[in-house]
Amino acid sequence: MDTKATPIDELACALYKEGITTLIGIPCSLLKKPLAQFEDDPRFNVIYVKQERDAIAMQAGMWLGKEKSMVFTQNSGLMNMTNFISSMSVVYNAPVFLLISKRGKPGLNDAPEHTLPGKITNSLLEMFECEVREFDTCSAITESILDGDSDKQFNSGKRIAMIIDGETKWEI
Amino acid sequence: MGNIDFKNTYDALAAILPSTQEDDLLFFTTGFISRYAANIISKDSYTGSRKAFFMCGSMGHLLPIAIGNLMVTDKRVFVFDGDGSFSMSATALPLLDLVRNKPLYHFILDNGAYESTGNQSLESLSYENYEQFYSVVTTDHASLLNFPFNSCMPILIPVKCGTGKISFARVDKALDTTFSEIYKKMQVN
Repeated sequence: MDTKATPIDELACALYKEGITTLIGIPCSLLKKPLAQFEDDPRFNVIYVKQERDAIAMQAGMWLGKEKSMVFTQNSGLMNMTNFISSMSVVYNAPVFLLISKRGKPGLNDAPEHTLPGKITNSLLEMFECEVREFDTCSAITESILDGDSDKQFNSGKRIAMIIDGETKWEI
Repeated sequence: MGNIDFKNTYDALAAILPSTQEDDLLFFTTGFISRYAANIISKDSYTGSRKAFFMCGSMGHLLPIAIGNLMVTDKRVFVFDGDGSFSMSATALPLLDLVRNKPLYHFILDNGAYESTGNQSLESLSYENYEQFYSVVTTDHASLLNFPFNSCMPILIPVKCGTGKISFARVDKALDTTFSEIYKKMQVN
């Protein structure tokens, strides 16, 4: 039996090492592989909410109790978070830590409802003063998390958006 | 409605807050409720060390913040929503399952209005605005639906379903129709 850790295993270990064990959001088909694995991993608590804004609000509430979390969402869900980010997170300097699946990436064939969101995702995040990090492999996300010093990020109230898209490889 | 003892939300907060304890975590929704509460708990009769969070903007987001917090604390959590902000929190209600049996005290200060924006009146908060509730769990129930128009409306019909993917093509083709064409179709008697 091959016991070699997969890139998603390593991502899970990185999140766990950083103390990020609660993952909150609304799923996207681009995230189904990691989410399926996190769901089966007893170290993690995966919470599916009904609205993306609830996920980001819970992240803020958990941080008031000094617990870090990661919010996952499709880029369409970002639109549902903009009120909270602009009026609460920015004003209170509350940390935002997002894993965003970008549908409608320019150049990729996707459903028509994703075309405009795909075009504006990065600039929208930048308007909300989020640091945007784009990844084409799972290992690159892991590396970013391990290099990121999440304690410092959460303490400083920094807003970080990690973006994957239809070309991101979860096997590498 | 019977007599209302509290002539405004300030009076209600002033009556309730003294019952909270210094170690409790207090969450106040945006607008006048935060403003009033900040005024009340800054008074000398309080220790001045109340652990309070005053919502900034983001109407309707207070409950999920409090739930997120309660997930990671053993303290008592008090949430003070307005009827308007509570109505915007419906999507967070299922999350209460995450804090079942934990000490959450959720107050809704129901003044029937958006007070801080000019006292614009709100419809009743009550979900009893649905005159009927018909739960569909089996196919038999579904076949018995005869849509009794014109009687006891509106009706809420939750339908319990399992999951299971069935592959169909996307509905992109349907999007060739413009909104105005759909509009026209809907206007035809």
